[in-house]
Amino acid sequence: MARKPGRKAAGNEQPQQPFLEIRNVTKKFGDFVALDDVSLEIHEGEFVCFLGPSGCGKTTLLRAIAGLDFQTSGRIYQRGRDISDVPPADRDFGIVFQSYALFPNLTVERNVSYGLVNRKVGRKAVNDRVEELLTLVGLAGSGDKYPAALSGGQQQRVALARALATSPGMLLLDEPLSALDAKVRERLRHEMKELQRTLDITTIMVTHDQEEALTMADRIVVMSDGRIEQVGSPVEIYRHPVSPYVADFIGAMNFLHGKVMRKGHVKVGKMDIAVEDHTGQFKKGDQVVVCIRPECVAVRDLGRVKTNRYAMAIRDIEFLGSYCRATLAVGGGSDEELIADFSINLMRDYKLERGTKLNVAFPKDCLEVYHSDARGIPA
Amino acid sequence: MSAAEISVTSEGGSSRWAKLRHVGREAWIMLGGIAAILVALVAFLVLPLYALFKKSVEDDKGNYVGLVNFQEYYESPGLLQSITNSLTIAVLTMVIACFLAFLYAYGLTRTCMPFKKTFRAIATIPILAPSLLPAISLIYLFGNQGLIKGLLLGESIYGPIGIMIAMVFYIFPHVMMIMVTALSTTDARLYEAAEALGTRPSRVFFTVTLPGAIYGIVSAAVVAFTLTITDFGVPKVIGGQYNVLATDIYKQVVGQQNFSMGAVVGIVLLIPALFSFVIDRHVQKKQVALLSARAVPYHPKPHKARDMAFLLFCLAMTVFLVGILGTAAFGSFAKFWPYDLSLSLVHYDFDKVDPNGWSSFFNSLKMASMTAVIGVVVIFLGAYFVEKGQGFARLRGFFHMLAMMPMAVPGLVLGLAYVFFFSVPENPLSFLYSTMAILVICTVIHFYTVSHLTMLTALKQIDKEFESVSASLKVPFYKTMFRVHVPICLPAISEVMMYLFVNAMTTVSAVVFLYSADTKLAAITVLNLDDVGDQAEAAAMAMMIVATSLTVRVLHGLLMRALNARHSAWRTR
Repeated sequence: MARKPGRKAAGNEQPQQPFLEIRNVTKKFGDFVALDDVSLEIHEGEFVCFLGPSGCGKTTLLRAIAGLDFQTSGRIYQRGRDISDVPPADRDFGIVFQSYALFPNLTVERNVSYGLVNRKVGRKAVNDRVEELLTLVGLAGSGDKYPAALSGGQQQRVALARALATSPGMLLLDEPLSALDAKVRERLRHEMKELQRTLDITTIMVTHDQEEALTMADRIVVMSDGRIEQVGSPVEIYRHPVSPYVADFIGAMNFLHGKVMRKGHVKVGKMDIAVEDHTGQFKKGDQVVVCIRPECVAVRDLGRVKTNRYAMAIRDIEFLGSYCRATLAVGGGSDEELIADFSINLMRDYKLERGTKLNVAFPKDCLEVYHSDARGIPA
Repeated sequence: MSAAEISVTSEGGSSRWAKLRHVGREAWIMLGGIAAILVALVAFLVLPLYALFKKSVEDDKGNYVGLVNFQEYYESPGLLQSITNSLTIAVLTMVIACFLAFLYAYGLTRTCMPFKKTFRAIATIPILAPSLLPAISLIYLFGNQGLIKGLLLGESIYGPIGIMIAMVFYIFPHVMMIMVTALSTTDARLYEAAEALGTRPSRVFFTVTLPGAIYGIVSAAVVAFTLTITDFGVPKVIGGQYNVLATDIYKQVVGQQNFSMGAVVGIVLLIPALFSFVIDRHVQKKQVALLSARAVPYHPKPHKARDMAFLLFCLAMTVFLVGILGTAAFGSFAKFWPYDLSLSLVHYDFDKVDPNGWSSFFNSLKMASMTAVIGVVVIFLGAYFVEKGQGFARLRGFFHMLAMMPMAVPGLVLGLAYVFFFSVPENPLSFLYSTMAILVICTVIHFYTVSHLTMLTALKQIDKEFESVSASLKVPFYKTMFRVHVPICLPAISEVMMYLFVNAMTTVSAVVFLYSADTKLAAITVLNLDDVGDQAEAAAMAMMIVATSLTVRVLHGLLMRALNARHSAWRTR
């Protein structure tokens, strides 16, 4: 993964200086706190996603970084320079909006060269650069069209080319793919990531689409209610969400309510679930939730498995094309249910259908435990 | 009137001055621009109105006397009678005009009668003429020398009847256009649902059509009421002995030089105008929410009897509208009404009857051109700052509020306020008094609100991130404004220029107090000529105004066509 030495260094030792440093940034609109004491470091060449539901403050944070909306308090540093009070025109970034914000009365070429013309470089240099950029985004030869003559995906590429034209030090993307259809979105997702890798440009993307964040980002910043919930690689975020909120927001998750029996053991209904408790924060008698992702519910090769093995019945099956989502009755007098994702192969091999009784296991390393008063547990 | 409402988020929390840390060079330019227009609005709107209020509580020597003037006004039976008269006329005219305009608009929007476009164009004829014109025409037809005087069955046209008929003509396009908008903003699915449920047409009308249009109807009624009660030209020409508020102001100020009493009447006139302004704004807000983005436009299906009935009605209205205009035209060409009806241009020799004859026409051209050009620049910049400005949210909100004010101020009141404010020699701005500049300024302010809203609507449709993109590319906002916003807004810019020009050509009310011998305007000349009995010359000058307005309107139409052709390149795939 980490092909660039610079990025590797960022993970292992303290790098000399973060590319962008956000320190205790707070933004208020009247009484509403849009950003609540947010601190974050972003390294050179990184692709960072701000992920969260609408109103979580992700766009506000992006606009504060751009200087389009100023923070109420806190500081922002870019390459060590305090840009907290610098107007956007004096900052170093390119930006792409959800609406693309292409100038409708200017041709593609003049849109892309918009920031270049102002730099008083020669006409030839401008034309060359425009051509280079249009080729880069796969739109060579479309320079004399008006934006309205392009498809949504093409407009998006023009917006990207325009943002990159002036070779900014940082690329900001505000929900750049949200206005596109699913297919185009998937393709562009890939292309943009490729482009970002090629140019090695520090990029921040705001999105509410977890799939987008998981596939594109080097690091994801999960936000809610103006605060950062978790920062980590896509795998970390998915596999080890630090809070029920993150667990629930990304992917599907079962929340099983139970009680700590003794260290490392939680009782849910009649099930005794062995869990890992590295921090030792759970004491006997604590009310907790045990979380397991539907695809982690194991069925095959349970022969020698002793821990966390239970007999359950399939209450319902939803066919979802490439897999099936089964609702399992926990049984043993408890009316709790959990969902499990079974591959089509598994369905066939085990002849699973409504009412089938089967043994399932919860692999210990797939389980996360939270206190039941933690924020974000779905009702 | 567009229903554009501005919402400016206020940035609380941080102290007001802390924000200035972030102010870059561009923001200072923007702040400077807002401040300049704001100062102008204060100097040319707020302060004159203040002078008017002040005058109403002073005696002729400038001593404060409290509400004595109002008491005096209240105790003078003649003046009080004017209020009753004004209200009677306004309410009756409102009812008649709304009824006719509703039917007309219904015909245009909900039937399949032929010639809809033509009918629509014909209905806007009155906008091109000063309000004096219908009054003059009515005198030609029903006056002492009237051609068809007999139709009135002995009633006199000089008085309430004449005022009302002329008013209906004058306000018809304004009311009709609001009705058309109200009837156009409907959801076809409601009608399909009603039809699917087997609802009788009359029930559909009362349960779907009327409720859907009700805000528009209220809005139209309010506009009709305000225009009628504040118009001065019609009652001046055809009112006879029937006094109304608008003519009272003129008589008090120009006739009797009683400025304090004039100010009192002005404030009395401000009350209904303000009142209807508030109702209108309230109703407009509700209207917007009525139509969801997913509404399906309604397309009427042919219905022979209905379509024929509306065709006949619209034809009758056409006869009325064209007839009034035609009468004035005919009267202006007829040698000696009603005895020698042979055509001649003798009445267009204005210099023979009025020392400022033709020059007043050229003054009008000059004034209207300057109003259109200066007005559109100021109004565009103002709307741009309000809509696209960044930071200074409170200041922009205040600016927008000021920009909405002129709509609530009748022209007569504005003109009078200018007299009180600018005629005082101690005022450093008094050098403007009795110049062309003051006429231009007054007219721009008088018609500011509608232009501001038109511009705002156009700007609102432009992506709000253009400024952000521009800043990220390090292109100053004003360059993007010229390269992007101005070209996109050209249709609205042309629209506003035409609106300002035509209104500047036809307006009488505000400028009647402000013109001097050198800056007399065509519409004022119409008034004066009529006053001294040169009716044919008055009609001729009114026709000159109509012809000019019409020319500008045609030019605007051609420009729009050209713009459309160009803009379509931006739109088509």
